[in-house]
Amino acid sequence: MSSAADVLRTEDVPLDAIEPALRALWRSLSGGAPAEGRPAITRVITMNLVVLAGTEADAEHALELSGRLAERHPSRVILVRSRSGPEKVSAHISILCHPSDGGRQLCSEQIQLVTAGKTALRIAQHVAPLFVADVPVVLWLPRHPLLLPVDEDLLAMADRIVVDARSFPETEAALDRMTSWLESRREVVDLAWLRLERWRALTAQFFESADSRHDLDVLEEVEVRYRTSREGSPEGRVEALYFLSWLASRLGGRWEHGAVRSAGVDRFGALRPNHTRVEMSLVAVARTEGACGDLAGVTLVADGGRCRYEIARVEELEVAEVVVQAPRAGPAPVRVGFPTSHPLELLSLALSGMPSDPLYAQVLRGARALAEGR
Amino acid sequence: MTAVGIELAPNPLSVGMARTVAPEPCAFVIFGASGDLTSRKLLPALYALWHDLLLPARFAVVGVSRGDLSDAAFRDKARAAVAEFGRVKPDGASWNAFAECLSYVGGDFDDPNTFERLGEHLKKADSERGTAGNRVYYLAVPPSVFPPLIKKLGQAGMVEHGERPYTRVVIEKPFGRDLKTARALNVELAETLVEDQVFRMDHYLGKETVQNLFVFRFANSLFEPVWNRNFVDHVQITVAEPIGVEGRGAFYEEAGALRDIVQNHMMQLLSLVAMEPPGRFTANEVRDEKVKLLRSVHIPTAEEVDRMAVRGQYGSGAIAGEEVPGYRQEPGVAQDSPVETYAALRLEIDNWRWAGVPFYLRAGKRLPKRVSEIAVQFRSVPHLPFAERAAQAEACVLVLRIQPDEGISLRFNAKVPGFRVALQSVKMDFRYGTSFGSEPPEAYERLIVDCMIGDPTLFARADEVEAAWTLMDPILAAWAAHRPADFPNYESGTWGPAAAAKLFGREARAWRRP
Repeated sequence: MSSAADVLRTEDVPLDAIEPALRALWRSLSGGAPAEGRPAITRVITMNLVVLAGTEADAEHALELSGRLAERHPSRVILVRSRSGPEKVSAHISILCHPSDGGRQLCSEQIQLVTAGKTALRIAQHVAPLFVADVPVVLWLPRHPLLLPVDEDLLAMADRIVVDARSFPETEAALDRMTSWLESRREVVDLAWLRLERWRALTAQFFESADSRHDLDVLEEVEVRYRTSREGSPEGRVEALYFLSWLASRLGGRWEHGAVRSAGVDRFGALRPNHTRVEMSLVAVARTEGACGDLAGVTLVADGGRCRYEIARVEELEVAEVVVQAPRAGPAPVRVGFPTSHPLELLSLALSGMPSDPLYAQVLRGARALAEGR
Repeated sequence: MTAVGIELAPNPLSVGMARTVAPEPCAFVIFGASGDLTSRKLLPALYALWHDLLLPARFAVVGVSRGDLSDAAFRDKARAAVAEFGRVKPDGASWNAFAECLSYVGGDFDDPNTFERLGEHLKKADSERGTAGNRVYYLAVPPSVFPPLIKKLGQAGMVEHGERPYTRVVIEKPFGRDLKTARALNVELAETLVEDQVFRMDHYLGKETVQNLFVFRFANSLFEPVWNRNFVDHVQITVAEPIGVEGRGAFYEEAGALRDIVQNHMMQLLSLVAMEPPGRFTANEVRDEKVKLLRSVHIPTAEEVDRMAVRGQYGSGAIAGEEVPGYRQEPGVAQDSPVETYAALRLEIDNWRWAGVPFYLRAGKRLPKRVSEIAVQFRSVPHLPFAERAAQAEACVLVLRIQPDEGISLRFNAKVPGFRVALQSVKMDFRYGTSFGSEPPEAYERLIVDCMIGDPTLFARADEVEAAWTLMDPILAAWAAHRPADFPNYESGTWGPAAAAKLFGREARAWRRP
């Protein structure tokens, strides 16, 4: 994704003058273009992306990311940030253009709304008139939503809410909040869940071949290791919980007992429909590399310990070592590329046109039950 | 899509992943590893798949070619190829891991020792990389080498038919040069392989827009009801390219536009745009419908060929402001070559849906631009209730663009703002590149994975290939019997010979300007 974009901007536009100001910008952009040999301009809006930024730094970061996203997800970005001062709403508007094949420029829009005073409490009313019709509304909360002025009116407008459970200070609070959104029929995309895509794919690959598929039926132990700020601390374990919940749900497991915690290890038991038990454990390892909350490794043991499947991420090399110790399997570790998920890639995935993910809803409920020790 | 021959229950862990069926561990063997196809397409596609985690971790790529090359040298060549031609460029960690999959076996394809050594090498890959005995043999070699090479593999016991481990063979067009040779090739393949082991690749079928044709037609209630003789005036399918023969004059002298493009790519496009909806989206049901359609196309008699087919050959001219030589001046081309670099056909489909609707097909080299598209032109309105001088309505046209800028556009009429009722054609445009967040995978990526999971829906079946040649044979025969007197008959950089307009007869139709 190239970050090169031409920008046309107008500052300090009153709220009710945004649309005329945008039209003027479009006119100035397209006026005389062919005659001057400039590329043709195409306005592309595939969604309304509403971003609530808690701080100036968040706003800058979100603007930078959404600008780079425009090439892949041309949108009307409506970024809202609050500022202290007398009651006022003002806007800065921009048009971003990226070159595309065929000598065209594909252009989309950014509207920054700056609210001050009580106006910050009426975000839904400010943004509603700005939505482009017939394209979805995505609400992206780059920060812990408990710190943002997210109200029911705003949520009700969103076709999809994009959030990162890692940004919550407490795992349980994150899972509770997202569960409540899901229960009120909101579509939620959690970047923490998307970070697991490669882990899930690699784990699934173990059992693609006929030789190993049976081992899923006789799986006995699962260990998930995740990085925390200090050894034994359960901080940032949301992705580890998601992973366990995913595995259990795919195996049709029912939790047999709640978490038993000792020496930085949470142990869970699950009973499968075939009446076999799977012991699952979450192991917190002190972070020496990577980010707090990253998974560090996964081990699956089956068939009385005769088969062992292991994925270990080597952070500094951005690879994972995959080891299978089983009859007929290659004994040597195989390395696969395992780059750190870039926020831009995750966000792009979150905005892609996939319909709501029923698997995620299942996994979220399971993770919440695990977190609560049910 | 349903994978053929897979009885294994679906992997519950793959549910909800980017692909619900992921490839099993396997060794991917490329015969012709030092060739152009390997560098430009296969290695870049394999690496992109690896990078996106769409290949199994337990995977090996074995290059086989004449001449000695160390594994390290093969990896270096592969890296250079991926860097130059790949959608995904090699990056440190991911590339290093992929490079560990790559190895090389040198040897002559006529020499049984080559296959013996390859067999040993693959067993080693099974034990060291866990490839589980599964094999894909990709024959990136000239078509004349397919039968002897496959025979050698058979003699070496390397293409056993079985579900697990599996063995599959990929071959690329051309599949024969006429009906007789296509049938002969199918017979030779069948001596060693069963049909579900043979994956006949036409990379057009891997393109996103081509696959989207299924969705467009069969998942939208808006279009299928008008997709017939009652509403469609005619259909134009264009595959144009500005390039010449690019140093492949000797090859092209044996092929020509009809064999090179029309018999395969264009027949695929024709069958997809005109076939009946399959009951289910399975490999055989889709391909059954395609074959049924091809068999419904009117086969021209020798007398009819002149009225329904036009050939052309480019002379010198200018492309993008640069002077270019004529076909007969290209290296490897005879000075009096009768080979066509342009072919245009008017086909009719003898079934209830399409009776009376002409399908115009044209393919050519040294045309003004690179474009592949299917244009469905609808009938004009029966009556226009506006004042005659103010309004002239163009017929609505739906264009499915295959390359470049994969997408769909619809042309319809709108009122020009003002006091008068004046009509003007406007265009609604959907582009893959801007409507979905991600780039579509390259055609080769899609097809390689489909082969590895055993899904032949997007590959040509033996009877499909033969049905397409059945249509081409009378034209080839008629053209072979009469040397063209007017070649070269179009200038490079133009839309082909003027004679191509005669296919429209006295009908008020014309070739589109894409």
